Amino acid sequence: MLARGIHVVLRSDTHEIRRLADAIDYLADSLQLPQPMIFKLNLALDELITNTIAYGYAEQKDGVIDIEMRRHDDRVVVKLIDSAAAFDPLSVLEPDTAAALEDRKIGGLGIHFVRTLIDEVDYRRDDDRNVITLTLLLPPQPVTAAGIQP
Amino acid sequence: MMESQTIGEMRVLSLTGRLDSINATETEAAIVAEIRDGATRLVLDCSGLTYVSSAGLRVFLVVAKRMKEIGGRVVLAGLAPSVKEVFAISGFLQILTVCESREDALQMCA
Repeated sequence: MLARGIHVVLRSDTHEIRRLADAIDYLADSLQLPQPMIFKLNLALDELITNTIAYGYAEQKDGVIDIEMRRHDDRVVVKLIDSAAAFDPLSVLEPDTAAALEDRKIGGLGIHFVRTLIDEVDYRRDDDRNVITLTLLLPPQPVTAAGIQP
Repeated sequence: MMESQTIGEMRVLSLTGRLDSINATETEAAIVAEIRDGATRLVLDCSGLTYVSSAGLRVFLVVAKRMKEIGGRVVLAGLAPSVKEVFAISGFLQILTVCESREDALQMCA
């Protein structure tokens, strides 16, 4: 079966996150992705892109982030590609989510979400580009099951 | 984005829409302004909140820390399931006071 998907090119500007959310809604509608997956996709991509813009591109707005999302039979695969400084999000230390209020720090939470919500996360530096690949497994039952028909 | 209402000694702020890196700073400033204005009992009604990222969570953390410093109280209410999941993954349900409904939060805060 052929994979179906979309390709979005974002500028390195945090306002583009809302445009990405629209693109994910579009993909979710046309490909009938389950609601929890839409939430995971939105949050994971938001966090990764916010990081790339803030650190990789150091807030410079002329960078580009390329996003490809493909739906396969049993999974959705998303590739994020940017030409910013090398940055492996998986190198970020896990936050202490059990710390008391006074000691809680916000750093690292975004990547913690990605690790927690996404089934497989892969990073590689490819020439002068960062390539992050996210894999989300679809629930075993077919998404065309009676439950989600209008 | 945010509506403010005073009920007795309580300030009830209703958050709506998305809370992400685009509007987190602005929202934090608005809530901190309410605290500076004398609000020591704060209910954050999140029932209209559809999405929160880590940038948005920072707002709740900053407000809770500030309230603890001044001996005030902040209670959150009405988290949608996906928003609540973000709080849960972060461990925030253990460090913040979160109620199911706005009514529960008002009682808790009174």
